[in-house]
Amino acid sequence: MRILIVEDDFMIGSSLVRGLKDEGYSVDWLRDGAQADAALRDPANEFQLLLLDLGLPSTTGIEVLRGLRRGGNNIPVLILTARDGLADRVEGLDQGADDFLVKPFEFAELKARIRALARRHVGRLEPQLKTTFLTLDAASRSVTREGRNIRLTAREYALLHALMQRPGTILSRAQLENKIYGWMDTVESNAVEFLLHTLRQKIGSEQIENVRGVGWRVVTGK
Amino acid sequence: MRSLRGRLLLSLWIAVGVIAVLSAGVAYLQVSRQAKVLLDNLMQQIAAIAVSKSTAAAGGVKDEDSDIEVAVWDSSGALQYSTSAEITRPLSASTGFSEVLVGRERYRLYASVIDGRHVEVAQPVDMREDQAEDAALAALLPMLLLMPVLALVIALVIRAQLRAVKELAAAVARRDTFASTPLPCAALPAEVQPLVQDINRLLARQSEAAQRERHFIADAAHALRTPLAALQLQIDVLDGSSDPVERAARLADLRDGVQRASRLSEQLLSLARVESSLELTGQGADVNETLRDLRELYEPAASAAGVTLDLSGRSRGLIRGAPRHVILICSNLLDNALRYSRCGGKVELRADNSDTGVRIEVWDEGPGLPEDELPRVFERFYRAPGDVSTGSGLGLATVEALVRQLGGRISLHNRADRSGLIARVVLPFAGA
Repeated sequence: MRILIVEDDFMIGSSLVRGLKDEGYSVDWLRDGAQADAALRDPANEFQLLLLDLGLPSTTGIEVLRGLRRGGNNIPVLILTARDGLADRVEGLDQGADDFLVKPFEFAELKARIRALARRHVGRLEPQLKTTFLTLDAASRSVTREGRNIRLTAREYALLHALMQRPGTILSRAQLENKIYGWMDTVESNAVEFLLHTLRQKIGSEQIENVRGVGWRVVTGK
Repeated sequence: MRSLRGRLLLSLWIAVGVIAVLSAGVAYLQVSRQAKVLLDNLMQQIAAIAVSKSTAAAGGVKDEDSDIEVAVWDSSGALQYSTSAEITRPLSASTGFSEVLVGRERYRLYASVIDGRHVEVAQPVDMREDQAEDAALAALLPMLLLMPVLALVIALVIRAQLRAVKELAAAVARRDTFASTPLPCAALPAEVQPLVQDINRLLARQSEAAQRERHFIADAAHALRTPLAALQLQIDVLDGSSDPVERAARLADLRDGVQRASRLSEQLLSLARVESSLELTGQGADVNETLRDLRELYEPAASAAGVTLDLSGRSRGLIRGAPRHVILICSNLLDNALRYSRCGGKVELRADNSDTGVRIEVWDEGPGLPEDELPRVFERFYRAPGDVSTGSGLGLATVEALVRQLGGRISLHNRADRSGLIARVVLPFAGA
C-alpha cells in the first residue's frame, strides 16, 4: 500500500517515512502543498492514502484537499494538524477529509487509523485479509497459513498485502512496483520477480499464480 | 479611623467646638461687664431722680421688690429720707462708686452731692452679680442652641460631597478581576478625578498586557505542538529497525528533536522576558566590545557550515541598555543569517555610528525575502511561505520587541542585486 505524506516539518516528515516503511508501506513525502497538488494529479502515482498536514507553506492543506476532491479523487485522506480548534476539525472533515489526528499523537494510533481507512476504502469490515489458506492481519502485520505463522520481510509483506487486497484480481508488475516502492527507492528490473520468488518459498508457491504476460494474483482457493 | 469623612468630621467638629467655647467665654465676660456698667448708670439716674423728688414723696422712688436702697441728706447733714432702716447716716464721706459693708451684706455704693444735698444709692453686690450673669447667659443661649445644628450641617455637607467617592468605591468592589472597562469619573470632585483617570490609564495598560499574555500563551502552546509531535514520532519509530546503523541515525534524529524543543522553550522564555519588561535597565553598552563575545559564540558554527564570518566594529559611544541586549539582538540576526547561508557563503556584521546612534547591519548571501514578506517576518511564529528551515519564528519577534524597548528601529532589506538580505538595527545612544 502506497502512502503520500504531505508535511512541511522535516523531523515529523522523516520520522513518519521511517515508521511507515517499517510497517511495510511504500511511502512518499512532500513538504510543499503545490508539489503535493501536482503529484496527486499525476495518474502514474497510485496512492492509496494521503497523510496531510494543514499548516503548509504556500498552498495550504485545506486547498490541496479541496483541489483533490474537486478533481474527483476519492483517495482516503487523514489530516495531521497542530490546530485542534473545533472550527478547524469541522472544516477539514467538511472539505472531504476522512479522519483527523491532532499533533502530538502516538504512532500506534496513526497506524490503526491508516488501517481502518484502508479497510473502509475497499468496503471491508473485517480487519483481516483472507483466502482459503492464508490470513493477513494488518494490525499485527502477521501472516498465517492454516494457523501457522509465517515470518515475512517488510517488502514481502507489502507485496502480499497488495495482492490480497482483492484476492483473485490480477496485478501487473508495474502496478505491484507502484504499490510497494516509493519514488526514492531504486527498483531493479527484476526486483518484483525476486520478491515473488522469496514470498512463494515462504507461503507455498501454489498460493500465487502467474498469469503469463498479464501479472500475478493470489489463489482464492477451493 | 483613617476615613476621609471621619477625619474631616472630627477636625471640623473640634475646630467649631473650640471656637464656640472661646467666643462664648469672651461674650460672657463682655456681656456681664456691660450689664454692670448699665447697673451703675441706673444707680446714677436713681440718685438724680431721688434728689429731685425727695421733698415731694420720700421713698417714692423705691419699687416694692427693688433691691436698690436710696438715702438723701440735706446740706446740714440731716437725713431727709431713707428706703432702708439700716441707713441713717452717710456710708461714704467721698463721692463716686465704692463698696461698703452694711450689716453682713456687701453693697455697691454710689454717693453724690447734688444741689448741696448728699445722695447715696446702694445695691447688694450679690444681686448685681446675679443680674449680670443672667444677662450674659441669655446672650449665650442662641449660640449654644446653634452648635448642634452647625455640627449636623457639617456632617451632611461632607456626606453629600463624598457620596460620589463612596459610589466609586462600591463600583471598584463589584468589579471582575479582569474587567478592563474604565471607572466612571464624571461625577467625581475635581480633586479626585486625576487619581481616577490615572487608575483608568493603569487599568488599560494592565488589560492590554494581560491580553498580550493570553495570546502569547496560546501561541506558545500551539508552537510547542510541532516539536512535541516530532519527538513523539521519533521515540515511537526508534525501535522499528534492527539495523544498528539505522538505529543510530534514528537516535541522532531524536537528539536533534530534543534540542529543537529546548531551543524553542528558551526562545519563548527570552521573548516573554523582553515583552513583559516595561523598562530595560542597563548602564549602557559599547557595541564594539560585544563583538568579541559574538565572534567566539558564532565562529565554530560558521566554520562548521563552511560560512565566512566577518564582524567589524567602528562604532563609538555607549548605547542604551546592557551588553546582553546587544548580544541577544546580534545573535538572533546572526542565527538567521547562518541558517539561510550556503556553504562557501559569507556573513558580515558591521557596527558604525549613524547620526542618532549606533547602526548594526548583518549581511548574508541567502535567498532574501519577497518584498511583501519583509514587514511580516517580525510577527510571532510567522514563517515565510516556502521556508522549510527549522527556525521557530520567534527570533525576529524577540529582536523587534527588544529594539523597540531600547528606543531603536529595525528593518530588513533585500540586497540591491538580490544576493542576500540585510538586517539593519539602529540603537540610540545612552542619555540621548
